[in-house]
Amino acid sequence: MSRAAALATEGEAKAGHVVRGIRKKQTGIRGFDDISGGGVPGEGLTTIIGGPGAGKTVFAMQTLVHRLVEHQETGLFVTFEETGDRIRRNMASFDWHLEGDAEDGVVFIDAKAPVEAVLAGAFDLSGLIAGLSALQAETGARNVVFDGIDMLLSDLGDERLERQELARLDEWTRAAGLTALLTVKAFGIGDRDQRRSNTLQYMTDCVIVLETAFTETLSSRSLRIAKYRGSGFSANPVPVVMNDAGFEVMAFEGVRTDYPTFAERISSGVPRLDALLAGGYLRGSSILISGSPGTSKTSLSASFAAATCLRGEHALFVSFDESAAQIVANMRSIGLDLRPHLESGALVVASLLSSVRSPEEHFATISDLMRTHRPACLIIDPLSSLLRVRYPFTELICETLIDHAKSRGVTVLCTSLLDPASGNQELSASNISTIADTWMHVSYVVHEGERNRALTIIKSRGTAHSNQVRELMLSQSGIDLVDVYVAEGQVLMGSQRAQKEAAIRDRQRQDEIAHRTRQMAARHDIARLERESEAAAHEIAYRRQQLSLLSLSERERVGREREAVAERRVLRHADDDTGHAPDAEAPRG
Amino acid sequence: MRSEAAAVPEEAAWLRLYVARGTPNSARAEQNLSAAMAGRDDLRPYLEIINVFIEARRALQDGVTVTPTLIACKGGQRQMLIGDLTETNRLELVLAIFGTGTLSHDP
Repeated sequence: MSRAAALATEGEAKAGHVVRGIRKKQTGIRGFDDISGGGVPGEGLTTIIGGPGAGKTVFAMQTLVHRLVEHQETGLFVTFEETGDRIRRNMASFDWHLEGDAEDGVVFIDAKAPVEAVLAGAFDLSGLIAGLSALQAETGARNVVFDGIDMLLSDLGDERLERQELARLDEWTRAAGLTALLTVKAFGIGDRDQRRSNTLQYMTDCVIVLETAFTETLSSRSLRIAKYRGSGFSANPVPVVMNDAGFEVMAFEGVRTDYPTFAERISSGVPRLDALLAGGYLRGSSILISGSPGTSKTSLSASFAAATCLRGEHALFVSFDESAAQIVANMRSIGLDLRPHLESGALVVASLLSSVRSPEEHFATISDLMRTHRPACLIIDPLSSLLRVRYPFTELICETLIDHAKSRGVTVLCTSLLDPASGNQELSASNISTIADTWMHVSYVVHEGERNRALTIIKSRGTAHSNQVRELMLSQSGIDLVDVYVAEGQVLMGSQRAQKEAAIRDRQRQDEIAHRTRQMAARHDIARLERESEAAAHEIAYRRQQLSLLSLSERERVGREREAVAERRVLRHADDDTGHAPDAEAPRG
Repeated sequence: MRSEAAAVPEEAAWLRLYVARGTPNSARAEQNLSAAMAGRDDLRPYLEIINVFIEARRALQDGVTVTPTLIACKGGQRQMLIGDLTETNRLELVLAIFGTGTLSHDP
């Protein structure tokens, strides 16, 4: 809630609330009550100056109706240019909920001089004031509008008289406790008009200037508070729109909203992009995708919209390039079916023509759609369409649009179409890139007769994102991001990347074969050595056994020889010769 | 509220001077009209001077928003002179036509 709105409780608003000593009345005009700090002065004159079609009458009429409908204050509408019937018809064309007897709460007074009227000397507004006093007494009116009063003032033919009659009007409205709005045509036609402007500037408490800027094809309205006696106000011009709801002021308070923050990551609809972004886009953040025509900005946007709907949330897709049917048909070619989401109402596609309306009108339209659809994600494709024509408030409007969405926790994805002729495409993206939390750039890389798409994440606040360029590929199965190769200072994509991948695969296969061959040779050697080792072991065992047998045989032979010797000695009685008895021989065994 | 005067009946004939009694312009208008009508006794029965401070609603119904305003009505036509009637030639022309025939829109 704005500062002014916070001050205006219903009780205060009924009688006009007091802001720093000035009693003010809310106009009910969205945005104006914010920049004026609570509305128009509760008493005295407020002048609304503007050229034809600037919205002076609508501003005044809307205020009168608001005071009637919301605060039950009767109003008088004195018209010096158009007939009361015409004003009443205009009033009925707005969606102001003015029904039945409520219309009687605004009393119209045709003060336009009839065709048969001829000026025949000096006059004053006493008659008008007398009539209005009678009507006020009768109706209890609290507000009065003098629409096109310059028509009457110019008939006075004298500056002094003009000042005198304005003073009379001011005195009467204050005495009657009325809030008075004067609409006056824009000045600058001549010295006389300029002097009247100066007179109004110092004679009225509040001066509101409505201006219209023109381009070759479009007009753009703005409002500026030129003066507000005894009150602070925002003096900067602000854009305004007129739609079915009437007059709407784009009130930009100059302070960035404190957005709700989220830790949740939500899918972009492209799994590998999610991986690059540490899980996806941060909920409630703003994402800018810049790139030349045909670089898949819309496809990335539609993928995000579809992912949002699949999560059971609502998505609002504002397209300045294509109709809803075109988007659905085009996305089908990459395997993305948006129809179920459109049919379920989860996805709303608003196809707008950027060149037919001014940026502030688009702002109002998108704001209305957001109010009614309550999306979790807002996509504007491309936002650069709004920036194409140099309007006074274009960048401000775009920035505010993102700001409003983020303040509601909506994740905003905008695309920005870059001028291919621009020398530095990344830098030539709109100023929105400075406030975007995530900025991705999609470009074409042309090499050896091929054009391939490359995606780079330039920045992503609060995200440990990849700094690698990825090739963006579209196929019937959707969007994919693949690694690129850098060779001799060049990024390889497309068929070159495919060739490189094939060459690498070949080399890997060859390396694998060689490795396996070496493995086989080693295994073969091991087997051979194991076999040889086994044979040697057998040989050793054999030899050992052989040796053992030989030892045994030798011992047996030696034994036998000893026995033979002993036997011979016995037989030959050789012991007698030696003098040894037979029992003295070595023990047997 | 519509303050434009309703269609004037053919037989209607009247002169109405709406004044804000006590204001200089209205006082001059009464004087100028009185001078112009000197010797025109035939017109006096048709003249009515109306103070808007007293008959404000009547003035609005007659399409009068500033004072002084003289309205001459005859033969289904209306002629309105706005101001203090110092433009005497225009006033005399309106009175002359009123006295003799049907009013036009351009005196």
